[in-house]
Amino acid sequence: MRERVFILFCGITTILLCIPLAKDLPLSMALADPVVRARAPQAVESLRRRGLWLVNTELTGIERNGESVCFHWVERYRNRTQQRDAKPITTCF
Amino acid sequence: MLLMRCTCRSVAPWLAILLGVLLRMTQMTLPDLSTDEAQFALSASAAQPPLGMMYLRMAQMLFGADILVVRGAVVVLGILTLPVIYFIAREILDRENALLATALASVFPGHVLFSKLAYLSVPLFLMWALTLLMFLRVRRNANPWWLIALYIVSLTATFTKTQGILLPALLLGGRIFELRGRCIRDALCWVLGFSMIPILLYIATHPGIPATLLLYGGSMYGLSGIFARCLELVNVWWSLLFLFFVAAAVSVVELPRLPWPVWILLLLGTGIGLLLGPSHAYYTTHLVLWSVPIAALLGTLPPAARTTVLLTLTLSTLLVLSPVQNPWTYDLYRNNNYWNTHAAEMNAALAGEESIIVLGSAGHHVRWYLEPRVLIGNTFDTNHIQGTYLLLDQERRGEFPHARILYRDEEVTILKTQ
Repeated sequence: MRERVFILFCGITTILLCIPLAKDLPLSMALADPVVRARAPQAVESLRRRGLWLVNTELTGIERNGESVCFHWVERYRNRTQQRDAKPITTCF
Repeated sequence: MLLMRCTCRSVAPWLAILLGVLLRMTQMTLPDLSTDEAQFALSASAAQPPLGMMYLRMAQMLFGADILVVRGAVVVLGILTLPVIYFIAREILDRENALLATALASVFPGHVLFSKLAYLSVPLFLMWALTLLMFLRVRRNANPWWLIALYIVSLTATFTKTQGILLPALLLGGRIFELRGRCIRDALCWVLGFSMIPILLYIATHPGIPATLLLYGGSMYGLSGIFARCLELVNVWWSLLFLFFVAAAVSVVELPRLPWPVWILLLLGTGIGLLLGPSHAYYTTHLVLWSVPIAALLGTLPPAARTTVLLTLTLSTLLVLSPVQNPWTYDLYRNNNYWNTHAAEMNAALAGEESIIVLGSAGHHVRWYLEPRVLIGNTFDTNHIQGTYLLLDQERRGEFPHARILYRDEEVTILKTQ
């Protein structure tokens, strides 16, 4: 009986941990769209052409208007001594 | 004479443990921070879950952003792994041989080396070892409190590094096999299963992780070119592990004595390098668990032989990793500190510069060492961009005939276009 209580505790903890993660699911699901997926490498390439470190950029939104797709990013450059202010970037294809 | 011999035998493991702990604290700031270490220290890996990097970040918030702090944080975890190995060994062996296993782990070269570098392999192995220990405890004695501990350490392992999920998944598979599929009423199955759900959701919501798997799958990851991979793996193991490699190979005869969960982590630790990159020496960290079968084998020898082998293995580690330079010193500790010795001068030359464009192979370590914002120049057209450049490839110097040189040495040139 006690064992079941502990298993229940683990289950509830799992659900609680998954709640903040689930808020990013809509963004991930947007990547399932074949048009969005086709444009994604171009978006990444456009960031690279600006000399940005991809690990400092975070995808925050995807907007699709017909065949055109806009990717919204936030760039936060960080080095050993400082973290720069967040800079929004939008790349559309 | 008998008293002396008895004293030597009982003291030898403790001496090896002390030596291993001290070795982990030597030369921590000598080699340059590698690009992988820098990306973990800067929490800059899109291919990893956050916990391992967060730990390094917290250490820097408390003690400052310094190589000593970043590597020191890993040293602590490396040392904490030793008692965990003792308790794992104690599940199988008697007290004396468990202590011997701990002594061997303490001087295991792969674990000593990566305990003093800021990779995530040591934090990951600590969580794997704790997961294994809790699994063995629950399996032996279903005290519910061990279930909670297993859940916590398994969950932590999955969020320390992406590979972290492998051990809980394999233990779950092994448990299902052990119970012939009758898992509905098994607490271990439920707890392991629950502990893997959050990381699966994290991977689903962070495309960088599957993107990395796709990027490297079939080349660095996988079994293509298996023969070449095996050769490379053996080469890496031999160059670092030396006599420990031989001891582990011979200790295979003791494997039947070990319970299957220990087999799982042994095989995982042995095979992961083959699967994910044989040239990556940091996977040798996970081989430290071979100290248990090696101790089991040594336990069958007369005490004098046991002590002699322990001292020989300790000596072999000292040759490779001691601060005293010798022909067997590991390459990383042979004058591998260009950035550590030149970064201050570069930053002085760059005083007041807002950003710098790097041409050449710009690893994350460049961001660690340089104070201005670093832009990656290789992927954009720099012909018409005025600015300050760091040339990692000296041959490109000719592309900037009228630039003013701010800094120059045998490795890099920093110049400003006008």
